[in-house]
Amino acid sequence: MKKIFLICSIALASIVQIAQAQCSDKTIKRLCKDGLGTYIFESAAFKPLTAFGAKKNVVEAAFSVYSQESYRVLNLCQGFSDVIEFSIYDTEHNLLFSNKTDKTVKSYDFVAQKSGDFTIEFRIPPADMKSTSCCVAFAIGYK
Amino acid sequence: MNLKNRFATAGLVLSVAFGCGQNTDKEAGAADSTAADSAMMARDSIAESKTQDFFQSLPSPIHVARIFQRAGLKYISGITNPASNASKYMSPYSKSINLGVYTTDLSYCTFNDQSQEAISYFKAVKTLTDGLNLTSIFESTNMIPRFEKNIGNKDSLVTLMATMSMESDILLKQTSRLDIAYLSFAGAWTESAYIATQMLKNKRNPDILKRLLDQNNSLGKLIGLLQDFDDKQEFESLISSLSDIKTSLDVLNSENTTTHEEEFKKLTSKVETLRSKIVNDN
Repeated sequence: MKKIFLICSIALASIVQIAQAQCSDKTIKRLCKDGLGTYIFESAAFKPLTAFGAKKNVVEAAFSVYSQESYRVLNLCQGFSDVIEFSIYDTEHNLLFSNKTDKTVKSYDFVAQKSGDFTIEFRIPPADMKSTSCCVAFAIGYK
Repeated sequence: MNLKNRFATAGLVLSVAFGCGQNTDKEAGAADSTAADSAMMARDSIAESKTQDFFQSLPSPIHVARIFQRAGLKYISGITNPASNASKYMSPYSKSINLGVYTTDLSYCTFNDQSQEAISYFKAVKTLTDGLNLTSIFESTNMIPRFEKNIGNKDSLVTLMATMSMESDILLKQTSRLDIAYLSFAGAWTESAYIATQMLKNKRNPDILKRLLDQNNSLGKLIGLLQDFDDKQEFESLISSLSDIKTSLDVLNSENTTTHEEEFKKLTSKVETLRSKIVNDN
């Protein structure tokens, strides 16, 4: 019984390790530098998919914007079986952008019309729902 | 081995796993070197679990300073917190919150072409990040010499500040030191509101006032995030002061303009009181 419990604990710990490796600070920094271009870093957010619970197929995040400011949102998700679908909604939750028709697009540039919170939404592919190697991440840049 | 001990074993294995995964930089290993830091980190875990369904993204204090500058916020000599105060901040709380104050002061001086003052604030920020075991923010990019070399070149200084901001933002999130991130933002928020209200007190500029009122959104978010740490008296007091400021901003953001002048005076006074408490708290 003791051995079984120890093996289970080590297995669980290994899963945590794999998930966290996908969200390493070095990877996120490199992706930010590569993807932001002339935009200045504002903030980044990143978590292993496992942190959101096994049944969660949509992950949402809010970020602050100021009117008349130019922004770039970068999708930095890692480890998924396909390029992840992401959408951006404005302060009234109107859809501004989705990469649904062209999943190769990994960023969205816009000028905010109103100050407030925008929302970024990630749709987790069913095939990856139980994956332990996926990282949900994004970054915001401004000009 | 009873059930309690088994859970303790599992917890130990998991904590080793988390520790190896998160502390990729050398300073992260030293992050919990004091009892106070350990207590702060324990609270971080609680905060993380409460907000794990979505990320909380706060604006960069450097960007906020830029927005105020674009709105017409000019340099006022002597308004910032003297950089020489940096060595006086001893507690993790005062270091964290004044880190934000100095980040705003650094941005304010840089955007207003006050290069010599800016370098003093850059060093003040380094003093506090070192004190919070966040040394890699400056070390990994050799930032101080680069900042000194680029004095007078605003674009390069802004790029360096953005690099510092990225290193700091990602490191604090990677190591789950969210209390430092939120306190630092609270300091930055208060300092930018202080500088803006001091200027508006003497000369009304509708663009600056608009940008000040825009800060209500991030303030509301910040108060919510700080509430995960409200078991500590200094957090409780900070939340109370910020909530009081938010009440004034709510009134000023309302359509009823008849009470605005009186409310602006109240807001200015509340911001002055909190800012004084922050910069004079060792």
